[in-house]
Amino acid sequence: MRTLLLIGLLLLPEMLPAQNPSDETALEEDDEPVASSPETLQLSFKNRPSLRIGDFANIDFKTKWHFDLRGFDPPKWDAPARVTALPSTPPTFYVTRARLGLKGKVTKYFDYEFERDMRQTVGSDHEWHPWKDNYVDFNAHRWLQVRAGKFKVPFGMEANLSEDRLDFAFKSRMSDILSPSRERGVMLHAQFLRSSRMQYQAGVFRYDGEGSNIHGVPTAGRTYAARLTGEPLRTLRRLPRNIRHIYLGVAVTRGRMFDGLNGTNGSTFSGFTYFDHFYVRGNRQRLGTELSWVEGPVSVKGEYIHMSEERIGQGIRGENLPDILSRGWYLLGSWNVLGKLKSSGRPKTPLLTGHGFGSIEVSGRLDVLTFYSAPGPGLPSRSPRAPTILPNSERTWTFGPTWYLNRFVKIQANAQRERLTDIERKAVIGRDVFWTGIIRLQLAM
Amino acid sequence: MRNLTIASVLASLAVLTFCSQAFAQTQDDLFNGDILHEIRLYTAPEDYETFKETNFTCQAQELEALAGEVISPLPRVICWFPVEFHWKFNGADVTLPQAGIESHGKGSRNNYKPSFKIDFSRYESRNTFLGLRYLVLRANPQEPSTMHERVAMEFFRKMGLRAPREAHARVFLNDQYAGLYTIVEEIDPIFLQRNFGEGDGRLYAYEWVDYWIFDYRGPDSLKYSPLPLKPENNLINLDPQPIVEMVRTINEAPDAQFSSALSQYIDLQSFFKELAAESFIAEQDGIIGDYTVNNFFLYRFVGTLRSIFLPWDKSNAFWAIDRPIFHNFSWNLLTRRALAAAPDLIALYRDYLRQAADIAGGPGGWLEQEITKEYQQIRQAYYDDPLKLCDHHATGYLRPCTNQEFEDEVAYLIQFARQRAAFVRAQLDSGLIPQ
Repeated sequence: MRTLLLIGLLLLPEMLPAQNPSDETALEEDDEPVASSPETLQLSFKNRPSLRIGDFANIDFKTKWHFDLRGFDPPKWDAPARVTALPSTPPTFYVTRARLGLKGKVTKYFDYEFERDMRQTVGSDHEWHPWKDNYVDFNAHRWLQVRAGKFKVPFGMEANLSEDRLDFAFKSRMSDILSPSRERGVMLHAQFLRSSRMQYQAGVFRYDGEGSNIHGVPTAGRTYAARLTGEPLRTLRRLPRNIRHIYLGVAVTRGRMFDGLNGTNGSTFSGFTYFDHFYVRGNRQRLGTELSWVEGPVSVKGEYIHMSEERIGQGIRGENLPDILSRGWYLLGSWNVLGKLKSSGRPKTPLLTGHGFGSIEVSGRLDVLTFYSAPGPGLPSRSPRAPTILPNSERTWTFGPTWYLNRFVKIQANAQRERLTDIERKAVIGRDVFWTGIIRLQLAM
Repeated sequence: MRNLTIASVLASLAVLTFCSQAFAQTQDDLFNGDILHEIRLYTAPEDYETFKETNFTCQAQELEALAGEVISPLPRVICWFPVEFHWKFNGADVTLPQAGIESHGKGSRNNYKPSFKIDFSRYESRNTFLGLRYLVLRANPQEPSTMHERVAMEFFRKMGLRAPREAHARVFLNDQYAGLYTIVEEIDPIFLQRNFGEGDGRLYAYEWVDYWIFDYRGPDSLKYSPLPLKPENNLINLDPQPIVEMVRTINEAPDAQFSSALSQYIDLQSFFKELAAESFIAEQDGIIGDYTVNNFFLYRFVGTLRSIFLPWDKSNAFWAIDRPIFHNFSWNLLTRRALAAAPDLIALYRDYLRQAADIAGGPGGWLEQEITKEYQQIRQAYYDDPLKLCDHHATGYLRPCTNQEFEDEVAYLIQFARQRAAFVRAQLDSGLIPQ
């Protein structure tokens, strides 16, 4: 009941005319136009450093920096050092993004993007996969584009949204844990039924995605993914206008897991494991649905993911065990309380680059993630070969303001409260609530 | 009608009798030394393969973590595996379907006939097996009789010391005979509760990492714990400072106040009784062993600074019939200072040694009877053991063992039992004091 009340409070602000929901292309569309020049080679610094070679090609230089001050209660802790007391770690400064990249077009047929994270180079934390989006897109037809390389597996709205466009400093725990993230592969995609802004994506990937890796090692082999998104209600003219532009999506992935202790595990943002890896053999399958509704200064977004992992012959005596089931959802609301934001998430009256103070948005998110299994013989247990897995779940509240100073700079202050249900699996004796605080300065260009 | 009532009552009584038999097993039954037990373990074959692959890495990994070394970004190896545990007793099959198993042992660690540690509460903290949380299945690969450990612990308890209970068992792994093992009670809060009526004090296991003779290594508590004194409980709220003070007192207390100052930190009666017991059974790898201090637990009682030493791993006991009673006394700092400044403690030690000799007896005495009893109990199981190992003189190299070596070692143990008491008494009577 308290949960519903809080969600209701987030939705209280008056409804205003619609803006475009999450749309990655809006960023580029929102760029200020670069004056045309008769010269073949043209260098511009208008939106970002950009080199244009006539109509043949262009090269945009991208960079993205996140400077975080993070605090944890209980403190962040290296789990294997079980025998030492919890250290009292003061809030610590981290560089969590230091990305450099190139993005552009070659003729009207090819788009490309290359991006690498350099934070390990600047001495911050370890990064298992420093190469990020690195792909080429071939525009074969208005209804058929072919993307090859490394990019985000088409699954999950939040997981597929660029991090500098998130309403919070970090994604929901559900997206972090259940979404596949980036992988090498080939994908067909395009927009169709333009009136409904429908988009399809379907691809095959070498592994299951970096999101499910364990210490950088893949846990599943070739994976197929498909996603269908858009605003299908636009065609239903009888519906109220603010309902018609609800964005909806559905996605699915399926891949064969590598045998072994490769089941998905649950951990808090600070790294405490509350649901260990289980032995698996067979397919991993995800089903996801997504929703986004933007009405003036208010937006509501939500996702639901259901994942199953097979355990063929994984019992102590080689018997088949019921699937591991992981289920998560989140619902977030945000309210642009001061200033106005464009659909791209940039302030209409920017600070420094304009004559305003930018824009301030407040957001709240409830995120629930549960791990369990279908019923099997015997009492529920936490054993990695338990027929019936004793469930555990995490309920996370995240809230805080975001100040959009201008198109390049954003400051976020978030607090995140994670609560675990299985008292036996509490990562720290006597604690089932984990707090994370973060202040982030984001520079993106 | 009356007959029906009588029949119902009799049937109920029969059911109750059956149930009481089936569920009446106790810890005393499990450690009943009068019978040879049978334990069956079931584990996924691929887990046992991984167990052997990671056996040695697990040990190194734990020491790295204890030493506070930077944790490698590489995946940490799996050390615990799920196991189905069965104990066959009096026709009953007492079982726990999901327990955890890991490799056990340091110098004796091997992949041929590994020792196991069973954690009954690994996946459910309220799970116990007959009230036990852990159980060790010792393969006894270092000495050919497989009896040193059990006989020694039996002797310790006979001396009135708190020592783990043990019994021999045939162990089957996935229905294959894996050999003759010893069931060993783990020293944990349950053991402490049973022996001291409390288990919430601070329990440390001594991890041998380098030579240490109780010398003071400065005020930094990290020099003493988590290595070499590894905390076994109260992991979140460690309190190692009393250990530092204990060691400082051993080293720096004035001669005149040595006993009284040290008694704040150590139960000296118990300590010198344990030294006497170890000395009597010629323990080569104990508190005053040849590798400096080793093989003990330290328990500090709730709300006090006082600790007690608890014996562990006596595979190198019965080292030599003529091992001197003050062997290594002038090497170990505590005993050296006791020799120099605390005649009361040395007198105590002598008294306990005499008591040990009385308990063990000579030919036909308790020690010989115990060895003979165990020998008769395990002989066939040992002969059937396809994986028996030994390293008779602690060379560090385990090798397959023969039945003849077993018989020879048992013969030596009986000789030890017959002659050791006389040797110890002779040394005591000689008034020998080491320099």
